[in-house]
Amino acid sequence: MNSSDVALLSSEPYILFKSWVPQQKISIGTVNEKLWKYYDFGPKKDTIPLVFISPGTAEIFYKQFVSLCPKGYRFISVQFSPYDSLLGWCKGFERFLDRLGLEKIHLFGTSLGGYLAQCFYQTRPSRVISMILNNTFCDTQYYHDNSSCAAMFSILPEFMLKKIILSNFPSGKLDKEMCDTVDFMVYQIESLQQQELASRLTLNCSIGLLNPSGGLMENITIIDSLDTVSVPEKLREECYKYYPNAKIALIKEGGDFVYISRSDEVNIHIQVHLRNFGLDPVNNPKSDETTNNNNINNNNNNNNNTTQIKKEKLNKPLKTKDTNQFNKSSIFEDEHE
Amino acid sequence: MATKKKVLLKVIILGDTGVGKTSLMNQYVNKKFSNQYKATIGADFLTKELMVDDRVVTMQIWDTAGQERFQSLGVAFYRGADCCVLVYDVNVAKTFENLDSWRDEFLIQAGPRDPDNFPFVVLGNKIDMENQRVVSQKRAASWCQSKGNIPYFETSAKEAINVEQAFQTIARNAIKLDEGLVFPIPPGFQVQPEPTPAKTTCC
Repeated sequence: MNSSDVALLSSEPYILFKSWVPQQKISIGTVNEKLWKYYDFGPKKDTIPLVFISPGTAEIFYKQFVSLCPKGYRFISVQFSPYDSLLGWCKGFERFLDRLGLEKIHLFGTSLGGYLAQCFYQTRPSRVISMILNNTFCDTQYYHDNSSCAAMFSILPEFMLKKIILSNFPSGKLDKEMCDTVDFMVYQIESLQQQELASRLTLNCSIGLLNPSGGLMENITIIDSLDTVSVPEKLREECYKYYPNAKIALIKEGGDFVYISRSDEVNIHIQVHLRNFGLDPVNNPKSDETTNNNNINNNNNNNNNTTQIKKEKLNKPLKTKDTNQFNKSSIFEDEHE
Repeated sequence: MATKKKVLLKVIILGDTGVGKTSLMNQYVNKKFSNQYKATIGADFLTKELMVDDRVVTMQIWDTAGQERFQSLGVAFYRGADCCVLVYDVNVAKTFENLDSWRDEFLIQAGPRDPDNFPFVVLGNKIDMENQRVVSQKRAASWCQSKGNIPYFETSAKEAINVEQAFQTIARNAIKLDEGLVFPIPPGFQVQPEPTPAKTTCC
């Protein structure tokens, strides 16, 4: 595809993004080079970042960067180096965070990125304060069963890999915004190399890593559009069941890439989510460290202690919210009545 | 071809600070009430699934900050709303008088396609404190009538009076808007007046 055909490449937010945020690279490999490309924008000092993971390039979140970072959020978007196993990816991602000196993070994951975020969360729960999932799944079995040539991805030529990926893309009647978005995403996929594409497909179709019993964590928001097509509805709904305490933020329409096609709404959900976990640069520019720490502890407890009583859980979302929003008294005991 | 489309209704609650917007939402969704007042910062939402005429509907209820200084989410927040709930405190006259400006604010920000027929619902809250009441039911009802027959409910989030009924009406009115404007047209079909000569078919 010719770049001049892609309307969003010449749109204002994209141009701003390109002029504000330089792409950076880190190699974390020793013998083999493992190159992670990423964008890092927003205040660096004492700000816990939201890290975006997607199977595509790191630029696809440009609308989030451009509209939210100036408000005081720190966002990092990664285009990960090729890995051929989920565990390998998790270790690689951890090393990436180490290199950037990030002890704690919030995660945003879309499609395969969402699955990887969940894998990382389960392997290193203490580092993830909260997680936003978009258009994703919590089990790769479906993909594993439905891919006929999973073992061969690494030796398939680039054009075939692209064809496999693009066959899943939305088509048919779409509104203008969604068409532009799909064009943009196709253009982004075009820029990925054979190894990157093969790695993404391999990870997507490998045997799942997640603990099948799910989690009662409530530091999760799931943002989904009702008209998504690339991830079957059944898989998305399994995700809601997998995290019964997650907040489900539905968007009426917008297709598979709502973070571009309905960025306004997604950005609102991101702000609401982060505010509930102690990040609110707009109303509370110097968010208190202690608030964040409390939070981390809460979340870790929730995470490990999956046997916690459900009833208590139901009450909790409000409570956590309240304690985070206001660093005041946390006396909301009447909820136990 | 009649695929059952999932229905999502976006409902926005507006009103002065302290009238009980958060409490009403909590009472409806979580069946809980707290006497402690706590200002809402910005906005937050809860979702609730309910049945409206045999259809499962997901209601996304947005609770907003009554205080201007906490309103930081911007215009996009109002976009796509299906119903707006205006809340006042029957014991505080000012909160009733401000309904006009909340309504205007919503219409300006949300810019609905048909502002005259956009579904609003008015809730007069805190009726459990009956002896302190200053806004009469009659006064409120006549205001609602003057604005195009807005449904009016007197509620108490504390005692759970009328909350369920009010939200059921909210959902019903919101779904009407949803059906009227964006009812999904199956691909391949064209919007045309139905051909009438099909009368020969037997029944």
